[in-house]
Amino acid sequence: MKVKKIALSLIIFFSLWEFVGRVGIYPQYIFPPFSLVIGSFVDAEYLRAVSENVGLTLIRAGLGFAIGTIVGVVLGFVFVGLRLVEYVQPIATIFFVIPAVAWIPLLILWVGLDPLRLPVAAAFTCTFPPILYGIMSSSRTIDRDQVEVAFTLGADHWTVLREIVMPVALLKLLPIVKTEAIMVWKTTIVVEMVALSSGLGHLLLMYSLVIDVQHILSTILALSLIMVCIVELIDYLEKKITSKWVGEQRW
Amino acid sequence: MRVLLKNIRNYILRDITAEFSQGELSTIVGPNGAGKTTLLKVVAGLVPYEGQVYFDGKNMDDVPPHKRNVLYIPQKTGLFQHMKVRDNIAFCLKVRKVDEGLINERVRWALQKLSIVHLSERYPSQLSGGEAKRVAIARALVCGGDPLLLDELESSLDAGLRVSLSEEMLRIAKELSLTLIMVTHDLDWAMGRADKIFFLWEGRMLYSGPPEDLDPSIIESKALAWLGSVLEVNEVRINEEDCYAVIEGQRVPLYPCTETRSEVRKVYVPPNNAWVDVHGKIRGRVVGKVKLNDIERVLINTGNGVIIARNTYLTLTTGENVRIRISGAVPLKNRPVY
Repeated sequence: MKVKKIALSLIIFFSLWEFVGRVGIYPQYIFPPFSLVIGSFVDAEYLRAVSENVGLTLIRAGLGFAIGTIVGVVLGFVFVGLRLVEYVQPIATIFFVIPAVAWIPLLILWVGLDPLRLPVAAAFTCTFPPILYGIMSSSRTIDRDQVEVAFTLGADHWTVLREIVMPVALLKLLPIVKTEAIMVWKTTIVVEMVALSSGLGHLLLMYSLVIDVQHILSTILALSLIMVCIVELIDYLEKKITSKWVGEQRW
Repeated sequence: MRVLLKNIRNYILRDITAEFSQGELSTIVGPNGAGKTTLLKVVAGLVPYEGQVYFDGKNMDDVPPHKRNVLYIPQKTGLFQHMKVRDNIAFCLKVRKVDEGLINERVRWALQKLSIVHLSERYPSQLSGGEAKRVAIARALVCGGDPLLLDELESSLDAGLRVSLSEEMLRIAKELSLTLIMVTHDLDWAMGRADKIFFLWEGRMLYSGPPEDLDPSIIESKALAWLGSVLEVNEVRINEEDCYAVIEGQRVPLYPCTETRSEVRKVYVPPNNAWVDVHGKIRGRVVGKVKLNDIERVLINTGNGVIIARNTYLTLTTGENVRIRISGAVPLKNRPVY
């Protein structure tokens, strides 16, 4: 039923797109119909350009995201374990609310226009503050009863952190991870557009310079398709890990 | 284990001294916010306090909660949501690095003791309220500590289940010779079953001792209106056909009705079970009035003790003679008088 509804909404959306593109309100080079855009994916030259750049973008975003997540999680738990949250959280909050793209000019100065270090650093600045903030916040909202019972059952501070706080905090972090994955993807594309000469972001910029709307739209479609796949993958993993023990306590 | 609290003070409790004895059922009663849970947490070392806590004469004030070896079951069970029932129960043994074979043996023992073997592979979110309570009890028992601290075992359970689980808990505690300290809102059960009650009111201990020895003169009126009254009975009949006590000529139904209570001399009358009624058989004189939850409660001195009765329609003054009616009472244990 859910699949049917999704399929129906997509069919309606793409049909409307096709209709508006065909009736001639705008010239097709400004607003190409859906069939023309989707046709790009059978164009060997376009496919080669996309496949050359998609890997670069994925590696840059993935690497920055992974480093940011690992550093954020580890540091977050260290601060929780050392009871430093109250000191660190205000600083983490300041960094958390700064848009990642605001760091790009500074990062260009600090790490240069390196095709790997710059986008990875941008992805890191996008991921690290929210993950750190998320770990510290979720650790503070853990059911007090569970922590207290763990103490009375003989667990010391570090055992409670490892066995009780960490699993629950990581679970609560999953929605943030999903949101941040999307943000990292967007930030990497922006970095590639403004500062690099490779990657899907750069490809988009190149097509816009020659007013190739058909390929701009097909690249946007590819970008969103990749992101949807990544989000679905995270969703699947989340359900797989937590399907049984997630949920509100009923008693 | 004998647990002694001396002059305990903190953000809620005000100079509490109490003694909980081994093999006895001690129930802590009082309205919400009185400090019942906080008192349990003081014993477990989970909240800061001033004063002294002794376990069998040994001072525990500097002993952290993970080394006090108490068995604590919070109101909402505190089951670890990310662990299966089996792993929840095995938790305390694993953190103590007990041998794997012994862990399996102890977990099996606890599962069988609480009749929850069939739940061992489930997660807490897949359990009913009653099942979760049983798992929490099993998890505590498997550690082999003492005292056993139970916070509102009856919460989110229906009436039948709460009594049967409380009774089962009592049986297990006696069998294992545990000092059982229970916080409860079930006044009927607490007064009828406890060896000692500890009545907390706004952080103060207003009464501690056997329920039948409750002296209304030492408790302030408002608190007494919340707690209810203990009355002497003139006659008791408990057998297969009858189950009642006679108080000044009125037959008062007793609950629960058990043969073992045939020598009942006193009963507990819950605060809502007595009311002023011009046609009532029990006579008395008004000695005080107090409002609780917008309902007037009248303290009436009868020949059998002071009773708290609801008054919804008469204008009464102190010293006035009134009649009351009692809808039911809980028989209290009959202890030998030395």
